[in-house]
Amino acid sequence: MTAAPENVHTIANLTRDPVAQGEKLTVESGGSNGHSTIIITGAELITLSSYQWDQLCAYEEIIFARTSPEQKLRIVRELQAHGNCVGMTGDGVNDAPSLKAADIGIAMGSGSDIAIEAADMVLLEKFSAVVVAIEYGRLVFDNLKKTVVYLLPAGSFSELWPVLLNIFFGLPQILSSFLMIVICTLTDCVAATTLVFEKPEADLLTRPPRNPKKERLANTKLIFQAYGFIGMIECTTAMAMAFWSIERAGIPFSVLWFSFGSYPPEYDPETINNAINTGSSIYFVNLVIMQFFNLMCARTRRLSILQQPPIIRKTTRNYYLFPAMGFALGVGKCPIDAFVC
Amino acid sequence: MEVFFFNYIPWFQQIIGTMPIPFEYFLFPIAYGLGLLLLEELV
Repeated sequence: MTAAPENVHTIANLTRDPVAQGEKLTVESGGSNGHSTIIITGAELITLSSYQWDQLCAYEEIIFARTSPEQKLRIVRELQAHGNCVGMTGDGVNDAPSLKAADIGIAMGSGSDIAIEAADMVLLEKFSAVVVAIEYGRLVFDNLKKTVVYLLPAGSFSELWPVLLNIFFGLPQILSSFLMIVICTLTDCVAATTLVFEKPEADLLTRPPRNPKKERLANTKLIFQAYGFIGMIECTTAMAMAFWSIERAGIPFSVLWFSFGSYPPEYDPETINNAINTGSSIYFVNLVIMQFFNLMCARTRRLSILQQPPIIRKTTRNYYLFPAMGFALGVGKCPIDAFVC
Repeated sequence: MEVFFFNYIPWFQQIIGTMPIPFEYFLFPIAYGLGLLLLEELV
């Protein structure tokens, strides 16, 4: 049984054996090498107060000897109530209730059918497979974060601002609604999907375990990175390019600013309309291309792109990224080219 | 296929309201993107 209070893994051994045997077992297996260890018997267990449970959770290793199925269940419940995330391993029928109650019940493939039914995870070969499971669990969580960081800057931040500027500052909506949908349903989503194939970063298993009660998928830091940093850069450069192109077409920004769609008569409506449509396409292309670079940023959470290269090195490469970029550019160019022929 | 879809149906051309853009507007975002990547690496 493994529990994780904040940064420390507490190992609790549950055994039906008497104290002496239980002690011998862990000493032999090298379990208690210099760490603080405590041995509690099932009879002592039921007398513990809530405060004593708190003290118990501070130990790195706890051996619960001579425990009945009810007591095992109680141990799981108490550890959970004291803020721990509990993983319980067991293979017998008597372990089934506590396997079910634990955050992650882990059964052995050779164990009883009831234990396998009650468990969330079944180990078919050896116990060390738990580490692989933890690694992949963390990888999925990490890759989801990468996808969020990749999608938010263009898909929500840079699509919101043209609308806000349109409503509050009377500027024309610089990204047309159609192109917004092209970003959300075509150009962004394939690349976002390829982030699923990202390989784990080197420090993935050395990070402290996540506290599921406090740490969410998208925290303030992640939102700030997506909106305040990447989103801000993408949005402002795209705005600058789009309005600059309109200015180059002979319509100064002061004409558009607070115009709310009514322009001075000396400007031809057809010219204005074409300039705005071109600006919209430029804003769109700017976003699509900057998203390629955002993809390179988003695919690592901690490491540099040089430490985690997307090509060549077998442990870090992800060749799906590049066809996804090609797809985005190909599909993105189609609506842009629509008027050429 | 999307090319034909968007290019040859007049109704789509009306609705979409997109325009071809000068080639340099494909190059500016590459420069900005490199800047973004560099900043992201440094922060």
